[in-house]
Amino acid sequence: MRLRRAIRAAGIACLVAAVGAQAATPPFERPVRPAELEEPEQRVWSEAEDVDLALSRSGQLLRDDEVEAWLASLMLRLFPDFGAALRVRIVRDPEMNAFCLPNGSIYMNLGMLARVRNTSQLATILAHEGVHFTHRHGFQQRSSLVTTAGFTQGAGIAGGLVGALLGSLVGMSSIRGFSRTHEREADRVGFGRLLAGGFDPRESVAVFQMLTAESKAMGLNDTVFFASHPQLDERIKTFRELSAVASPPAVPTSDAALQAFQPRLQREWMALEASMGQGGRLVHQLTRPDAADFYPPEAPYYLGEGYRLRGDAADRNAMITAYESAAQRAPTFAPAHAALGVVHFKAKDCARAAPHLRSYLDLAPDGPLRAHVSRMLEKCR
Amino acid sequence: MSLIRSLSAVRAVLMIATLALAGCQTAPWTRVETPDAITVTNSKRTFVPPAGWIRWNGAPSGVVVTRDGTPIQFIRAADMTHEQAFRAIRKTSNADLLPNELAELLIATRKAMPGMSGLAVTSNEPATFGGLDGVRLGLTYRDERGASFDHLVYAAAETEGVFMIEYHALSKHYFARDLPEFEKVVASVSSEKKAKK
Repeated sequence: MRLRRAIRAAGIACLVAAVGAQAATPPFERPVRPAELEEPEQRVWSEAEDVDLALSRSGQLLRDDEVEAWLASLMLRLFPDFGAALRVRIVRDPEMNAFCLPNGSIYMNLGMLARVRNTSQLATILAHEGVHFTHRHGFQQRSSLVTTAGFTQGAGIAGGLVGALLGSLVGMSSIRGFSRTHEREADRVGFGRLLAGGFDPRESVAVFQMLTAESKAMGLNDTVFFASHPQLDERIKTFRELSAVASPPAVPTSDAALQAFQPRLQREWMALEASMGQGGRLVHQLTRPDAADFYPPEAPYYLGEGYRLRGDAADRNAMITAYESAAQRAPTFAPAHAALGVVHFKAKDCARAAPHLRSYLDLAPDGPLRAHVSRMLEKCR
Repeated sequence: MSLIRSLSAVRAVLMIATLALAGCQTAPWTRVETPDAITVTNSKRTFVPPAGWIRWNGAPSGVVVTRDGTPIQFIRAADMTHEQAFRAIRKTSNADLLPNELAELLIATRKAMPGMSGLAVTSNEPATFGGLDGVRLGLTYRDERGASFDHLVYAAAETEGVFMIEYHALSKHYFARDLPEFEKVVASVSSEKKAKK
């Protein structure tokens, strides 16, 4: 309730503030303290801090010091003039998404971190979000009925607390709340930051192409991320034009850090996606041409889960093949064996089910399915 | 004079309407005085609620009883069609679901509930109750205010739909205190025909 109140209050504060922010608001040129701001903007800032607090208490943030430190180092490369004023935190949300609050708090979804192919793609998103803060878009944003509708719609699309939470935050902060003008400005200025930071500008196109592909595969007209943004195709065109006249960095950006921790984020993302009961996105991502090399060896198990959760009888063979592939590629990964055991048990094929069920118990004697698997084995005897 | 007459007529109509409403409507809360079995709404299943608990007659679905108020603890029994049971996550169930698959749907549904955070599974095992093969699933979560709750649900997939009986209570003090009452309620689940509506 406190959280909802904070979010609602923040929305109202934005409305009030927007009236006073009609005149062009110059961008911040250095880190600022709230005390330096006019009262309406202070209020917006303060409400954003309340949202930060509520989010940190919600249990929906993924605490990973190593990743957060690396994200901070990227922000410093992109916004050296702002020091630590822009802070990035990770949200346990499977959507490919990110948002920025008016106080400089940037939230990067697990779904984004797990799926970007390289550091420059991630930097494209971070630069864009950072500009929303430096250019005070949160303060300037004007609330409208469209934005209010966005609150509800966002909450409906994503599930659970994160869904309700981000649905509102999305409305009040960056994803839905900003006008096309602000989004274009964030793209343009963010691109400049990307170049200055020594990242590969061509990857800015790739990240939007990936979003477009996912959006189309999921049957969405546009992703949640870009529902009120300029259309994805338009943005791809813009980034392509900007990239065409920009030189790649003399020294390529290293992806070593990202590659070091991305597998664990990918495992978290895949498990989260599966636990939410929706399989479409797993199937889309894990059947991409580079999936076998990009995702950890357990990925085919989650692909099988994606097929199963999608609930289409025509996927059954693909599901079994995926589970078998997982059991082969990651033989000590117990869930793949449980999945195969369950599939064969349901088909009343105990001869094929039992070895997998026993493997599960051997590999995960205290696993979450232990009791169920034991019962199936009893029934097979 | 005519105004007074009109007012009297209005008063009389209001009185009749009030009496009619009082006669037609059930009180929102009813104390469970005797240990009679209650038939679950739209179901052939019955259960015996704990004596002294209070039944919420306005429950949106199923039968709900509580001892100290629903924000503190409640037991709910409901029978839902396969289309209804997991509508929140856009899934339908079926009679062939294994207990672990049913548990998975229950967990996903709880995760999709707004205002719930920190959901964790504390137990997940097959269970037989009321002659049904199903699942016994234990969860903990925090509500919007950060209060910690325990949630225990018995559920089974049948031909007609999913039957479930669940217990929610504040983790601190209340959950453990009333758990034995809940287990007695689960043990009382049956398909007896002679039950109090």
